[in-house]
Amino acid sequence: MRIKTNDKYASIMLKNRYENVKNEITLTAILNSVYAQKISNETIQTKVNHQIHSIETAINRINPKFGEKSKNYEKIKEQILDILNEFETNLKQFCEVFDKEIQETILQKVEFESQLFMAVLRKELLEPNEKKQPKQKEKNKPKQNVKNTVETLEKEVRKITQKINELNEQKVKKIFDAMETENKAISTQIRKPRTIKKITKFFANRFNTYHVIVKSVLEPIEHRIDEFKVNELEKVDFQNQEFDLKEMEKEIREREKNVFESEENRKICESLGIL
Amino acid sequence: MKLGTIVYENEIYNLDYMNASEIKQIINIAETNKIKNINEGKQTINKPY
Repeated sequence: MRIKTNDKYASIMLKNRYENVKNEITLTAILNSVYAQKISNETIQTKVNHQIHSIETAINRINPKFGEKSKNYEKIKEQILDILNEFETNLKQFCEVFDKEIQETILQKVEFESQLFMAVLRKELLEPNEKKQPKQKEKNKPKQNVKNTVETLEKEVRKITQKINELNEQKVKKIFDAMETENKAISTQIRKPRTIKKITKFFANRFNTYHVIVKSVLEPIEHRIDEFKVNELEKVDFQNQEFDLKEMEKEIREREKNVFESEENRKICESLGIL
Repeated sequence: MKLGTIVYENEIYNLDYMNASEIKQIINIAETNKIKNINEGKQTINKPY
């Protein structure tokens, strides 16, 4: 196989292009996987912060003077921290499924992009051989096949990039809708004890604030968390695995290798002096 | 999770301290450069010398 241009200069330029494209394919794949993880962490953090603010406002409505020095403060603090930890772990487990799907699509994108680059090289290198044999009737068929592969691969790469963006958007919506109250506003149903005639209003708010907070604020949140576990998390297979960037990078490089060093593509690369 | 650092276009990016929006900017730059390199690869093959 020969190249049309000056061989030495073209081979040097193509080698540089090959290395740049290879590095950029790996880099974009790594960054897309990191981007997915960052979005999931940020949305979970905002949702947990919203929950904290709602608890604070509810407690303030029950008793605005409830603070560090008041009775049963540490009990309520421990309960709130336990609830928030469960809340966060549920959301992380829920995210894991979406993130796995996004990672698989990223690996597919790596394969298609590397196949596309090899298809471009193959297309340009097959044309001079066809010109030397013009009498063959099957002149047009390999051209069409090569053209179709380049165009189809470009379309598929675009589809996959759109799919990745859509999966990220769906994930964000589902995180914000998880464990949410039907009424978006803060509930105003605060169960207070009946005011006793002899006790003034000054003391009324200070009686049984602990029980009022538990019944009106904490128990509904626990109820929503338990419902979410039963309804949503049992349908989903999660493994509680943290994201490891090095393993993702290894898989990306393996997929690239499988394409660039396959039997068909190895000959092209060796003829150009790339491998 | 520790993400580490990345070097691109003579600049170091620490992924642990970056937002999602900042990472998206780098992704857009890298993808445009990737398309450029593929198209310039076509031109080097077709250029007459």
